Amino acid sequence: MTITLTGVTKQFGAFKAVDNVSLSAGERDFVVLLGPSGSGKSTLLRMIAGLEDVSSGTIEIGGRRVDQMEPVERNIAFVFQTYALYPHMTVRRNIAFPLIMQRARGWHHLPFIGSIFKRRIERMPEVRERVESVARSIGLDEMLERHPRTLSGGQRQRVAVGRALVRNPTIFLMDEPLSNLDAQLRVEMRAQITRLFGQLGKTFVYVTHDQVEAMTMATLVVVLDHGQVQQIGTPREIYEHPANEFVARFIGNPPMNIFVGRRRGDRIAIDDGGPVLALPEHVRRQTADGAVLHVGARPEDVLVTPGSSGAGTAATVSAIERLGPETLVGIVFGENWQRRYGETSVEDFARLGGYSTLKPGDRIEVRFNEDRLSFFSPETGQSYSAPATIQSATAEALP
Amino acid sequence: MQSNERAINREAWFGIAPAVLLLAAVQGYPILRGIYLSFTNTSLLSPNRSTFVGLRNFTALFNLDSFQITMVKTLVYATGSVIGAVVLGLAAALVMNGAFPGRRLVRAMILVPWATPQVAVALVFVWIFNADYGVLNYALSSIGLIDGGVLWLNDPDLAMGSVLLVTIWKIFPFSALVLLAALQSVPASLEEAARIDGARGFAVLTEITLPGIRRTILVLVLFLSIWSLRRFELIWLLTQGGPVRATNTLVVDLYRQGFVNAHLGRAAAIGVVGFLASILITIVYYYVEQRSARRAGEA
Repeated sequence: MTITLTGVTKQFGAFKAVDNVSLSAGERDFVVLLGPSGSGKSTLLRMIAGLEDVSSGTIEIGGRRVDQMEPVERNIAFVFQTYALYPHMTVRRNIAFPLIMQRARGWHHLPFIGSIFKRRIERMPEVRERVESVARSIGLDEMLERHPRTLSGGQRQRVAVGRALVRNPTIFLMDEPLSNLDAQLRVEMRAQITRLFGQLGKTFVYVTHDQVEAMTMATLVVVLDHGQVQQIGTPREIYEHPANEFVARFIGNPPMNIFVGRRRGDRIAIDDGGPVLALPEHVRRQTADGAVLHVGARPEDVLVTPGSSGAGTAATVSAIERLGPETLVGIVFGENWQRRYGETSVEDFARLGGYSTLKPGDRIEVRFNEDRLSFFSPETGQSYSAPATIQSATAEALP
Repeated sequence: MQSNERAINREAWFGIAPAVLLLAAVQGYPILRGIYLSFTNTSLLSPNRSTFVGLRNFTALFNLDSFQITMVKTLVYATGSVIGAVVLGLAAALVMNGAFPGRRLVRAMILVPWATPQVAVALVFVWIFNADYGVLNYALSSIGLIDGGVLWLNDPDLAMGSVLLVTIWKIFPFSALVLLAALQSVPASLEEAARIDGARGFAVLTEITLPGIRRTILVLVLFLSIWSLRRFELIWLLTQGGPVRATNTLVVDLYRQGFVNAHLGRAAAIGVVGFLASILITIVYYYVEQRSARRAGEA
């Protein structure tokens, strides 16, 4: 089912947790809402689910307006960060619960007496088979009679997914479902969720602050900050063509390096004594000669060579982090380098392939992959985008 | 190794000895003395002269029709006050658990009955229930529900209800507070998950919330039951167990036997019956608690 949000806003008193968000997701999109804590991503998801009211704006699922409906009427599934398994029920009853609620009459909910009827519903062949086939599909069939308390974190997570699957919902909403798992299990579950997405062919909306999850799982990433959409795009667009400096710094680890430069004719000079780099045509069209720009370079586009032959810009190694397949090199340029983020980060980073033998204090030379730089307006932080570039990236990334 | 352990054990015994001795003196001795008294014909008039009479006090008690009435009344009083206090307390706790303006004030106000001394409560309600001048009869007759003169405390058919009403009003704040604390420990995400899974209002309460506070309710029922078996002042001050034994619970009967009829031995026997009833309730509690722990996969 498609999801369309139009001007969705959530206001808590004077504070806007979600501010005028509009987006539309296609039939088989894996949408990741990505942002730092407090960016409004969970609130937005909860509004889609119907757990929070919408202050203004509309939400449509499959072309049907749902923002005034009860959660159950929206036919969505929701996986909570804490899994929210019912502790007093067995795994079987947890998974069967949505089916039991569909079939139970009012008085079946009475304490004591109702339990007889709920057990009868649980044993109805269609319910039983559905629960068992879901359990089999996620490898829980051995654990149906156990209680959540006795399961491991990964197993609990799977029960939560099973409960979401059993009702055959049209949309899957997940609120940081992997954040309570250890690193190794997280990788495993990430693959499982991606596989599930592929099998079901349904729309997923997934909240996370972990950019690795966004980059690896999403077909569409929505970057949020302070309740506002910063950028919507494929993982590749977001990474290669960040719409503004927030996205540039938030995506990527270490973040994009950002320098201050001044346009000199058809080129841009990074400060006094810094390199003079090529300025793409679309940026030249949008700026005047002499204008100040912010220049962004991903760490892998910062090229480092040892020594001081004069071929690049002289700098010093300030830190080395060897990660195995790659090495992160902290770089300090000459004192005249004006830094956009001078106060929060005193060094820039380069990413080198393999195991580097550089040491802190070594003299190095730096050059840039000039055709892969980003340029931002210092006043607004917005990228001088080339619309054509982004469109072509979209076309490439979508299957 | 073994002697070492024994030394540690000895030290431990020294450590807890003061507490054990104190408990033995102020709890153990009176209990044993009470049990002993129940096997004698001791009189309040000459408490130091007593003859051992075996089970005669007990057989006499159980042959009395009036004692059987007392047992029934005790059961009615205990059940009524526990159910009333839990249901009303739960309703109050659910209201207080929600967000509404003035919530803090309500939370403070609801404690007033619990904080008021029993004697004051009883005296106030004696006046409220007064057949001729009481505000209850005045209010009900002015809106036309009754025409005057209902004997709330002096009509054998109404007295138990009136006493229960006062009791529940007095004790429900306690259960409200205990249940409120338990409600706040039920994660909001469970109720949200249930809403998404298709449970609405009442179903969320009975399927998710109540099972979540089930063990607190059990402990609460245990305490309230035992307290209701021993509640004396309120009943005595309202009705003295009357009219015609309509509110004559175990402890009221005990007081009457011991300090009105001066029959200490028989009073002690009633006390032993109450003691056994409390133990029985506790055993039932442990059984139920163990069973639900097993069910939840903890044992």
